[in-house]
Amino acid sequence: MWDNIAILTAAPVFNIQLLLDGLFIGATFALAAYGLALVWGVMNVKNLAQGDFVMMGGYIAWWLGTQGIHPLWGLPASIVIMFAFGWAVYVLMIRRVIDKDMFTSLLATFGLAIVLAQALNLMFGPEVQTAESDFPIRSYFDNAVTIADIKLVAFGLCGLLALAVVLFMKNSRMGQAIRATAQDARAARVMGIDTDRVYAFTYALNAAICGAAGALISMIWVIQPFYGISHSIRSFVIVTAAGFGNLPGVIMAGLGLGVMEQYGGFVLGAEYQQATVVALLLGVLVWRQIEMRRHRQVVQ
Amino acid sequence: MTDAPVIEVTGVSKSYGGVVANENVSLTVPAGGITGLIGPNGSGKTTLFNSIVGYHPIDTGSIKFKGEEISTYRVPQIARLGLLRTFQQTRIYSNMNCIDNMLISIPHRRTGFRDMFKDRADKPTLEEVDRLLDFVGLYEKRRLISGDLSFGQQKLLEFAMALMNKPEVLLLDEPTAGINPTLINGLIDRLRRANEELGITLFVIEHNMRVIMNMAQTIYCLAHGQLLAHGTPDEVQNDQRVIDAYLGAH
Repeated sequence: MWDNIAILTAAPVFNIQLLLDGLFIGATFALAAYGLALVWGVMNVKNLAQGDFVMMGGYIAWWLGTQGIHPLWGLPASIVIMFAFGWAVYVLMIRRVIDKDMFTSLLATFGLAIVLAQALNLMFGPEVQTAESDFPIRSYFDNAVTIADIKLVAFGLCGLLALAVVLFMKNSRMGQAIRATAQDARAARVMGIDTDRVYAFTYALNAAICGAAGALISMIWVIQPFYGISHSIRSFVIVTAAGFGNLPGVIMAGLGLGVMEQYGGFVLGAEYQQATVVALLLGVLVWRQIEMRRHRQVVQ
Repeated sequence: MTDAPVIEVTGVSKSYGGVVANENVSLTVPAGGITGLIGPNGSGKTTLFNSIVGYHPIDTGSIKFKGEEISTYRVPQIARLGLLRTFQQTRIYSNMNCIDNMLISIPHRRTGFRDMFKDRADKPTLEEVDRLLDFVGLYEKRRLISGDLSFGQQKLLEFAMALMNKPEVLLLDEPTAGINPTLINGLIDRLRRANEELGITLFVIEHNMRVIMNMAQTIYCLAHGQLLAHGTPDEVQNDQRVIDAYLGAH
C-alpha cells in the first residue's frame, strides 16, 4: 500500500489519471443514484434491483453493439426499453408491496435483483463485457494520462440527461405531481392526483435512468450479470450521504465516490476496490447516525 | 339553488371496532346551496365527510354523487368527479410556495399520458392562480413558503387550492376553526361568493353557530353518530333535542 502511495507522490501525474477516471465513472454512479433517490423519496421503496437495472441497460447497449449497431444508440434504446420494463415491474410487483412495511419491499426488490442477474447470466453468459464504441483514445503527459473520447462523450451525456430529468421534474405536470406526492401523498389524492400512476411513472423513470447509466457504463467500463449488486450499493452510499431531493449533493457524492473508488483500487489494490465502496457505506451510515443524534428530532 | 340533491347519503353506518361513529345516517345536499353539518365533538361529522370522499370503506348504506354510487370509489376517483374536501388541520404542501401549491391543484379530471409532459405553469393557469390568490387575499404572499404562513392563511390557501380544482361540491371541515374573528368575516364573504358566483355547492361542518346559521340554507345536526334533526337554521336552533345535545352547552 505504501509503495503505491509513494508512486502517487513521486509521479503526481498519475493522480490526474485517477481523478479523471473517477469523475467519468462517478458521473454514471450519480445518475443511477438520482434514480434511487427519486424512488426512495417518492415511494419509500428501497430498490435493491437498482444495480441490476443498470446492468440491463448495459447489456442492451452491448447487445446492439454485437448486432453491428453503434452502442451509443443503446442509450435511447435502453431508456425506452427500461422505462417500459420499469412500468411493468411496478404493475406486476411493486404496486403490491408499496403499502407494506419496509422489509416486504426490500425482500421483493432483492428477489427481483437475483432473478434479473440470473436471467442476464443465462442470456449473455458470465463473461465481463465492454461495448466497443471505437472512439479514439488521446494521450497526455508522455502517455502517462490517457483519455478515451467515449468517456468525455459519456460524461457530457450524463450531464445532459441529469439536466433533462431536473427540467422535467421542475416544469412538467407529471414532475409537479411527483413532487406533490413525495411531500404528501394523501393530500395529492384528495386533489384528484392519481398517485398510483405517479408511482408507476416514478418507478419507470428510475428504471430508464438506470438503463441510461448502464448503457454509458457498458461503453466506458465493464458489465457483467452479477455486477449489479455493487452498483446498487454505490447508489445506496450516494443517496445515504446526499439525502433525497438534493441533486447537487447526489452529483458531488457520485463524483466523490467514483474518485475514492479509483484511489482505493490503486492504493489498496484492485481486489479492494469493491471493499472501498462497502467501507464507505459503513462510514456514511456511522456518520449519519452521529449527525442524527446530535440534532433534535421531530417527536413521533 | 335547485332542489335536486347533488349528494345523497342513505343509511350510512361506520364503526371503528366497537365504536359506532355513524349509525344509519341519511341526508341530502341540494345542488347549488350551502348545507351545514353541526353536532358535538365526536358526533361523527368528520367520519361522515371521510365516508363521502372515500377515505375509508363504509359498513352499510349508499352514497351517491349526482345519482352515481360512489361509496366504493377511491379518493382520487371521487376528487376527479368534482367532489372535494378541506380539512380541520390543513393539508397543504408546506415546503412549497403558494403558487406551487396552487399549480398542483389544477383539475385532474381528464389527464391522459401526454398531459404528463405538458408545461405545468402556462399563462392561463398562472393567471387563474393569481386571480384565486387575490380572491382569498393571499396575492401579496404568493411567493412565500406556505408552511411559513399563519394557520388562518394556510386555511385560506387550502380554500384557494380547492377552488383551483374547479369542484362542483366542496366539503369544508370547520373552515373557521383557528382563524381570528376579523379574518372569519372575510372568509364567510368568500365562501358565499364561491357559492353564488362560481356556483359551487358547499357542505360545511362548523362549530361557530353565528357563521353556520348565517350562511346555510339547510342544517343537519348529528349526535352520537346519529342524525338528530335537520331543517332551516331557525328550525334547528329551536329544536329542543338540538338544544339539549349541543346548543345548550353554549
